[in-house]
Formats: sequence, structure tokens, C-alpha cells
Amino acid sequence: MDRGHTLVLGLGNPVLRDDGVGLHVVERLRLLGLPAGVDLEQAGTAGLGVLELVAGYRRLVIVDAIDAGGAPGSVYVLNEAELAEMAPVHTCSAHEADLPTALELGRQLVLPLPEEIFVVAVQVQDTRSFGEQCTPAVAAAVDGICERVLGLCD
Amino acid sequence: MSKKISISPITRLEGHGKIDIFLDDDGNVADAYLQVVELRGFEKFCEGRPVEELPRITPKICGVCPGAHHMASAKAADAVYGVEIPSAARKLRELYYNAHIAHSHILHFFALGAPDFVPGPDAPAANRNILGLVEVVGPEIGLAVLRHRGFCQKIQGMVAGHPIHPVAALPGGMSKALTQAERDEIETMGVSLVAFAQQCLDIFQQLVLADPACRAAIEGSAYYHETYYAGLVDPQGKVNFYDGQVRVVDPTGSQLAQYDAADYLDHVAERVEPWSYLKFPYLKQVGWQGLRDGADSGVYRVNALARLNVADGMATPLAQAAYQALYDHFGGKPVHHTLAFHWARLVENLFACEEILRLVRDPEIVSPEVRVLPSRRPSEGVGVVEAARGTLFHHYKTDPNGMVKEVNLIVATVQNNAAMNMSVKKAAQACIQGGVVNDGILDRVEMAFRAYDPCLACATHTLPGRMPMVLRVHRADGEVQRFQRS
Repeated sequence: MDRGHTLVLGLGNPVLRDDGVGLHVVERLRLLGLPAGVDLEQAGTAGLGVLELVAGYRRLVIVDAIDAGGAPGSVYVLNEAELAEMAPVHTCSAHEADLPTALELGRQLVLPLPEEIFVVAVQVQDTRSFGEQCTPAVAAAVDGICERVLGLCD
Repeated sequence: MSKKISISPITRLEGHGKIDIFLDDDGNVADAYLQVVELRGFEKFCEGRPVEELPRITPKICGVCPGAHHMASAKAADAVYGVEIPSAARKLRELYYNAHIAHSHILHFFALGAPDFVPGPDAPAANRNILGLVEVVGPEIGLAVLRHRGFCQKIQGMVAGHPIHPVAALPGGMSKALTQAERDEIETMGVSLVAFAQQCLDIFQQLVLADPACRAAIEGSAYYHETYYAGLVDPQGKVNFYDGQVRVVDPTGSQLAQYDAADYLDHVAERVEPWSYLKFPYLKQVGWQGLRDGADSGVYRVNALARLNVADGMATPLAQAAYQALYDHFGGKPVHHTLAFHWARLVENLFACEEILRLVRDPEIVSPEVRVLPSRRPSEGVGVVEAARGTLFHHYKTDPNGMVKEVNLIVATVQNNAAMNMSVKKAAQACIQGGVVNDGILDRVEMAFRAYDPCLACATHTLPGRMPMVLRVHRADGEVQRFQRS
């Protein structure tokens, strides 16, 4: 299959309630259907492995959980510059390179990285309990988040 | 008079890891603690499910080492059903698992370990990462890291069905065989991986060992503990990640015990300390004497250097030569230098890559005979593997229908908990004197626990993307300096 122009990448842990909201959004988008040229991927965290996934796309939309103190289900759309400051949950792994470092490395190595990068960060309520479902407030926000993501894919 | 230090129960933990360093009146280190949050409840989350689901669910505890949980879980489920898996299935699992180990070790060395040596602890924090390293070693090494990390990921995906959410291993074997085309592709990648693994050891020699300051750190006393070691060995006594018996050696290298995974409760006990959420496993036979090293303390270490210390050698020729070079350098076995874990990891990486190539060249690797259906009544089983970070136990009990009643996991990082605390304290004592604390000094303290490649995600049963390490220095007059470390 040919690679599209936009990649939507959901991040998170599927068994840690709201932590996995990025994955839930990607699953919902898969059911809703996507415009031509938009591909979907899922990953746990965005470290060095993300370079391989995103190389060759013109645009990258990451969907991730965040704890920024807002109401559960609130959505923040961040650009790359805002990423380091806001630190969505899975973009800064202490276990390996974080996303800003990985992207910088990719540019140093002259990889064909996306020109446009957005992170759709969803305020979580509970990321400390085991469960495959999000909390009600976050689950209720998933449809709206899908619309925001699709809006960025145009 | 030095201030009496009392540690209150923790009411609020910041992030997932925290180091507290307590200074005396002279500004020297009186004590230091590494603490991590533990999320409880994963075992409960597993209970009530069919046991064959656990090899798919337990890898999701952790985004860092799903492969280790996939294997330990499948082996525990095999044991629950008392089923012997076909030879080809075992080879496929080993192929997958060696790719997992190589992936983990390559990442750890280049993204976390090596930057402590190059550009080193005195470099600006923003540069003390893989970017600063690549500036020194050059972009072609950076690209090689990404390429070979990707190869390992791809091999795991081919064998286990998905690169990060493995699904293929199940009680009785594997759900899918390897195609001839996949085999051919893996062989090509394997050849390249072996060459790269040798290059990694060359880089270690040239950049780390050849540098007097790095060499002094590795060989010095600040990062040194004479402890027991534990790890799996194969029937020939060689290092094996997938299977074997657990061998324990004492600080002189003499064997204390060698046992089957199913008997782990006879050998390992867990100490609870009021100031830590994480337990402290120790050797029952020796006993708990607190956070101390030496032959009379039951503290033991796991992970790469521990595996090399317990084994009689490596089962592949290039890795065996690298193993010998490491022990020749230090003048004997066991090696107690904590920073040598980094070197041991690269020896193991070479072994894992040679194993990938050996296994993929085995004609049986494409056999379609990859599963036998379990037919015995399920009851109880223990599965053990060497995770990249050390020995990992999964222990399940089920009802006669195979529904899970009880789950116990002992993960690698928890087994190193005592040693990591001791190492942090010793490094802090060596590096902080007269109350002087700066970024480079704190990095030297962190190097003590980074050598263990701790996966707090796994130890805490969660997947922390954001895992800031908070470091606090408590001065004798009560002043607390707080450092947010990334």
C-alpha cells in the first residue's frame, strides 16, 4: 500500500484507562473511515522508533494523553514548539530519547520528517487504574477529538 | 553535631522516581534513597481471565519490554497446562526473544548509557543525550543505530505478529510459522546486526575505555559493590535469555544455588521497608541484613553483568571472545563494577545478534509444526526468562477450566531495588562533598542507577511516558534543594 501524506499516530497504554485515549481515538477513526492519504498507527511511547513510523509523511498528527490540570476530556492542540513545554504523557520517555530529541536527531540525520507536526493532547482523569475503558468524561470526548483530528488532516 | 535525619512516610510522590540525598553538618552525604511509585492491581486485573489471554495482556504492562512479558507469560501458561512445545516453536520464540534483547540493549546503550560517558556528565544537560553522542561519533553511527533498532523491531513483528503488541506465543507453542521469504529477510538483517554489534563494542573500546576519565569511573570505587548475582544459565552453564535454571553466585563467584524457576519461592524472599513502595527481594539462604553488600547480606543483582558473572561463558564464538576480553580487562570474575553493566550489555547484544543468525539459519525455523494443543488439566505454572533488565518470573494458578485465580510477577528492576539504592548512596557519598552540588555531580549520582537500566514502568506496573526523576538534596539546616531531572 502506498504511504499517504498524513499519519495519525495514537500513543498510550491500552490497559491503563485514560492513558490509552490516543489508541481509542485511532480505533474510532478506523471505524469512521478516513480521507484518502491519511494513515493510522499506534505506539506505546514516541521515542526513536517514531522516526521510522513518520519518515516520508508530510504531516504528523499525534494523539496522546496529557495531565495539564484541565477538565477531563479537554483537548489541547499543540505544535512542535509547544510540545516540550506541555509534555504530553508519551512524548517524553525517561527510558529512551523523548519525542523532541528523536525529532531533532532525525533532522540531524537528514531523515524525511513531516513538515507539519501537531499533537492533540487529551486531558485525562485516571491513568493509575487498570482497565481497558476510558473514564466516562474522556470516553465521551472521543468523537469530538476525532473531528479535531480530521480537521487537522485536511 | 550532625542533624538527625528522619524520613516521614511519603504522602505525595512526584513523578515516578525520586532520589533523596541527606547531607550532614559538613555537607557530606549521610544517606540517600531511590524511591519509585508502585501501582498495584495489575495482578487483580489479570485474574478471572482465561490463562491463554495473559501472554497478550501482560506485555501491555510495559511499553519498554513487552517481549519479555510475552515470553515469560507464554512459558508460565505452557507450565499451567503441562505442555511441551514443539522444537520449531521454541526456536521461533528464541529468535523473537533475541531480537527483543538486541533491540533493548542497542537503545539503552546509545540513548541512555553512552551519553554518560560521551559527551559525559560535565556536558550541558541539553547535550547529554543521543544528540550529543552523535555529534561525537558521527551521523553514520546515528543512522546505523536507527537502522538496526528497526531491524530488531521488524523481526519481532514478523515472528510475534506485531512489533509492540506481540500475540503469537500461546500455551503449546506459536500461532504462526515463519515463511521462507520472512526467513530470508531476517537472515539479511541478522548478518548486518552481528556486524553492528561488533562495531558497538569497538565504539565502547575507543570512546569509553580509551578515555582516562571514563575508565577511571568504571574501574573506581564510587560505582562498586561486592554482591551476589543471579541469572539463567543453559545446561552447559552459558548465558541464555529464554530458558534455563537460575544460578546464584556469591561475591567470590562460587555457586550458592542453581534451581528451576518453579522453585523460586524457596530461594527468593521479599523485604518490605516502610519508606519504599517497591519491595526488596533478597536471597533467603543468606538473609536480609539491610542495604549492605558483602557475603553476609542477601542482596543480589540481576541484569547483564550479573548474567555474565553467574555463567561459564557465552554460547556463540564472537560473544565468547568479547566476554573473555571483559574479564581479562578486570583481571577475573566476578566483576563488581556497576558501570561495567554497560559493557556487559554490549557483550550480550553481540550474543543476541549471533543467536538471531544461528536460529534463522536452522532449517527447522520454517517448520509448520509450531503448536501442540494442550490437553492436560490446567493448574499452576511458573515461567521465567531473562528480561533485558534481569530475571523475570510469571507465576499463575488457575481453576480446572484454565481461568486465572492468582498471578504473581517478580520483575527484574525490583530485584535490583536494594542494589540500586546502595549504588545511589555510594555514588552520592563519593561525588558530593562539602555541600557542593551541581548538575554534573547529580548526573554522576544518576549514573549509578542508570547502569542498571531500570525500567520503572515495569516495576511500577504502569507505562509512564513522562517519568521525571525528581532529585532532592536535604541539607542539615533543613533547607531542601529540588532538582527536576529529565
